[in-house]
Amino acid sequence: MLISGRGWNALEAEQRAFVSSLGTADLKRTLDYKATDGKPFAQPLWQLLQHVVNHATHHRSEVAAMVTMTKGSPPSTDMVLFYRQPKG
Amino acid sequence: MSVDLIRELYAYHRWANGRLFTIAGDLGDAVVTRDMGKHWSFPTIKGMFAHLYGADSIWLSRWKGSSTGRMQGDADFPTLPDLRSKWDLLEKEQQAFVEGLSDRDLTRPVTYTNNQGVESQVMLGPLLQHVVNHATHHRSELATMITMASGSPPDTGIATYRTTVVKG
Repeated sequence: MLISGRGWNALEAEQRAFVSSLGTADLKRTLDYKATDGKPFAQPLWQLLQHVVNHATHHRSEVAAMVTMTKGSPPSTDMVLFYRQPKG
Repeated sequence: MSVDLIRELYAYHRWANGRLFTIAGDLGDAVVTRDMGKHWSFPTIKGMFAHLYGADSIWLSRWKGSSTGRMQGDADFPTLPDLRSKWDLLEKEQQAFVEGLSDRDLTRPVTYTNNQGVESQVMLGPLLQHVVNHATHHRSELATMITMASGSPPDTGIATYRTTVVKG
């Protein structure tokens, strides 16, 4: 349980607002950032947006395996299932 | 969505697959066919690669409107090197398909029958993203299985791909 910090829900709301506000031109904007080891990089925003989702898929897979070991297989998080669902 | 993003995503997909395939190819038949437990989607390294082959292959055929409806799996490949040689051909066909797309194709609806026999319709763009996302899920499992067998494989993240391979 999160006992400090602003928590996932607040971050998700902020991330969603950021993504919703983007225009196509923003995707090509170069972002300068420092990796966690301090090394500087410059990459277009679209690559880093894709990276975050792909990175999460890798670790969701680990969480799914860990949940399976604990109490059985969790429901699928496959992208196609999400797109098949009616939006709303 | 732009077709350029899809092409970049598939360049990443090929790189990440190749990275793990090369390591798995050096592990030997006994290791890649070893049962590593029931908490994996597929219990062996070879079976996991076979599932990725089956998924990429059946989706490509659905996009081309030529699906036979049967998804290939572990039993279709006698060895991992055999799977790899078939994989290389599939990858070329998939790359040619992706290179041939235009922006307009991404909103084209694809009608297909899934493995449970249910017919669905989804636009091509999201399905193209689905295949790479699906593979990342199983590449994560492969990374842990390879870690169990021989130590941690190199990173297969998109940021690593962009900064070390494409350099931009």
